[in-house]
Amino acid sequence: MSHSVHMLKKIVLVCSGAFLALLLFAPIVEITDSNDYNITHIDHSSGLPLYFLHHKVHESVGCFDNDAQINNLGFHGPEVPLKKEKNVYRIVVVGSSYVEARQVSVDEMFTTQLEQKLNADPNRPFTYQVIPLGFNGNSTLLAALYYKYYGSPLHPDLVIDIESGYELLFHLDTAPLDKNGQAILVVPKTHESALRSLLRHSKLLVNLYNRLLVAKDASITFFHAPLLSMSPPATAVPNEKNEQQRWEAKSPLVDAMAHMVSADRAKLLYATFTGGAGEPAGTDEELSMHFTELAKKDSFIYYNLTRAIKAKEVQTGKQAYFLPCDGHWSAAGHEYVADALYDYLLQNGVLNK
Amino acid sequence: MSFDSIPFLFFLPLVVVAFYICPIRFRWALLLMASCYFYMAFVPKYILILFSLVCIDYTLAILMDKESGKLRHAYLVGSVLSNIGLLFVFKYFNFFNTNIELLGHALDWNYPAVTLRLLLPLGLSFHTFQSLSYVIEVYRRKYPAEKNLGVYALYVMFFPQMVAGPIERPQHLLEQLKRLYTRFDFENIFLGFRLIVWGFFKKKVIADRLALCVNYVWINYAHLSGPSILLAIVFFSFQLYADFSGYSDIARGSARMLGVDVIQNFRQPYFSRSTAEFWRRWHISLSSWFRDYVYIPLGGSLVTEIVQYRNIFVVFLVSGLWHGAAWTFVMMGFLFGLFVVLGTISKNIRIAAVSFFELSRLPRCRAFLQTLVTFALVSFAWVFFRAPSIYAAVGFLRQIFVGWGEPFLWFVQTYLQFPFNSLGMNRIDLLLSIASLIGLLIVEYMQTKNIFIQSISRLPLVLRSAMYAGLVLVVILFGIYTPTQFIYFQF
Repeated sequence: MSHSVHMLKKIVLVCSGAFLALLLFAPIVEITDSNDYNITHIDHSSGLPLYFLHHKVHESVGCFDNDAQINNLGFHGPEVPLKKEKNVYRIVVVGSSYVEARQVSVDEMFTTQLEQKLNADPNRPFTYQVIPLGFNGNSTLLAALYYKYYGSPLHPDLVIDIESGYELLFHLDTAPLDKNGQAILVVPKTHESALRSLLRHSKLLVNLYNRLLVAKDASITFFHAPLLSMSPPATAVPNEKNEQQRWEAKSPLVDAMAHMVSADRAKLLYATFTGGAGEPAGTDEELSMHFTELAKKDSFIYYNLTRAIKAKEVQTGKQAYFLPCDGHWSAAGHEYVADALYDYLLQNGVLNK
Repeated sequence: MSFDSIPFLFFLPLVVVAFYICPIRFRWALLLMASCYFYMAFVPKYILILFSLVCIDYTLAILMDKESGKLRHAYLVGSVLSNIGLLFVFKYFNFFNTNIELLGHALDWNYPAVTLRLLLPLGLSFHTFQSLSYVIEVYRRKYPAEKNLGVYALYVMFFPQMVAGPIERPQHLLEQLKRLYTRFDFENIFLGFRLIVWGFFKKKVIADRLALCVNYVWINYAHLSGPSILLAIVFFSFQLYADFSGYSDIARGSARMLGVDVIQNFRQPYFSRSTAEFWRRWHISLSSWFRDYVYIPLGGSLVTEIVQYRNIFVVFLVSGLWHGAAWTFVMMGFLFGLFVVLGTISKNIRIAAVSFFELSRLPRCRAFLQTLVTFALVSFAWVFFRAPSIYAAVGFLRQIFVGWGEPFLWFVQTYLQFPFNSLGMNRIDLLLSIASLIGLLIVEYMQTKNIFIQSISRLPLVLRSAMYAGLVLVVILFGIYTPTQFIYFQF
């Protein structure tokens, strides 16, 4: 009896010690982990994640340190007037983290710079509003969905969808097709469990949970196929689908986006670029060739930004990306993109109503 | 399978549980199977090479045991040639051939160099040396030839130390593997666990984080200034130590869980007060191997001074070449040999200097200075260990003198605000690196004074548990989990 009491006492003391360590580490992780986890929520009207309105999201990777200002719509960017005035020409920009641009301030975002450039000439017939609706991790499907739920109600005159090679190779979604082969734009099931959303309130628990998920995946491989775990761990692997399969999946989504924008009586401009991290050679050519074909088929405008960005890099000697520290556009990169879009829109008469 | 891979965290407990459930007479077979699986996780076919080596040494040792005279000597030569020959083919053939080709070109002789496209079997240098120690000990009649092929194979392939040592001797490891009678003991499991967690801390938190800076600076050194280069040199010294000693700790901890004692490979080497002392505390199993099988047979220190210096150079040059088939490693070995020889030659001058500056009155200050100088010399030699070529090492060292024009505060501000551009790591990583290095040095200092374990064991259980849980949390939360490899795996 006394032995079991002694053991029980030992177990209680060991558990108390472990709990004490957890308590001690909670504030340490809060300080050392610069990521914000409790920053998004699922918008029940769309089923899509959005940032909490009017929040500041801290982003720091070592080569930049930025407080991203979330606006009244739940996106990084300036405040957006919901009502569209008569003499306003609205440009809605959708896309992934490149449009979201949490790495730079609102003033440095290419969307803000483009708006300033367009409004710099008082002789223009409109006041231009450029509204970024980017969200990190977005693919072609998700960009279309963000447009559907948040872009379309803003009654845009022009929609710019910015896609990178990364999305083609690493973020390729598929959507169910209807009888006519048209993509049905439904929000993919979110993987956010109730437990995970609860854990988001503590950085310590989020980190432990993430590590646990990694261990869980490895354990599944180890116990189900022990010989597979012999091979070395893989880093990010591009989508294994070949070019034809990739575009069979992507084309219906681009078609759906084009139809949606056309139904809103707006123009659609797809702009692509490569040059971030992890894109194999030939990605730019692949994007360019297929988007040119789709643009003809679906009557939208296509513009390849890559050359303009590279030319600016050569001209100024400043690289457009934070590479190797981070694969996103630096302030210089945003400036190049704003310049390139401005020139393209004016030279090709895209802004004519 | 690497120690720092997640599958290992499942593999080890499974092996430990199976080990204690398994009948004692089959335990060696269980461990041999586990070791084969562990080794095959890298390049499966290379296990055949290992088996051939095991069979050759096993047979020759048994024959050697029965014979005497010239035939016995011939068996030893046969075994040594097999081991060294295998090492030469896989590790040194291309190096020697390329250099002969270069020499041929210099002499206007078009020597067509043949290169072998072979991947170096993992840990080949380690288990070759472990096998050699066995046959030499049998030859010297200090250890009888092992009759059980399986047990001998386990001695060569024992998974905790087969890939990167420590390089064991038959008297210590083989003797234990022949008698795997250990009963389940919580104490062994706990001690093993403690060593493994400490090893993970060194590897994942310290070494892999410092590697962020070291790799960045080595890639971009031509554009970086002196402070970045100096910091990278210091960081690499600690990265190498944390990486290799972390591996050794995990190896010892894993073996301890199975009731097997593996020798300590490091004794706080950066607290050494001379380079000779450093090599008595760094990679002890390799240093003692060279001492016993190369230095002493050459005459050791029982010869004239000149011959002794020659012996030191031979040992360090061979040791350098053991690390890798490249001139950088030869240069590293040469530098260490030079430091040890200069240390011996300058002994009287240093004693006179100590007396002149009355440093004997300040023993701590003197010890600190000696430690600092030793660390600087060792770190200098490690530059050649890390460098891809002698040319790069010289360029890297030359860069130390660049960019000191700014005021000191400017450096502090720049390095703390955006350290990525200068050091390749963000502020949090830099601060975590410094904090974990301070933690490591405190623990190591306490270990040199033998007060670490006593200090911990005096704490109440709840605080001890909090400390260990805290260490586990540090490893989980602050470890770098991008795929990496232990540095010494390449040897």
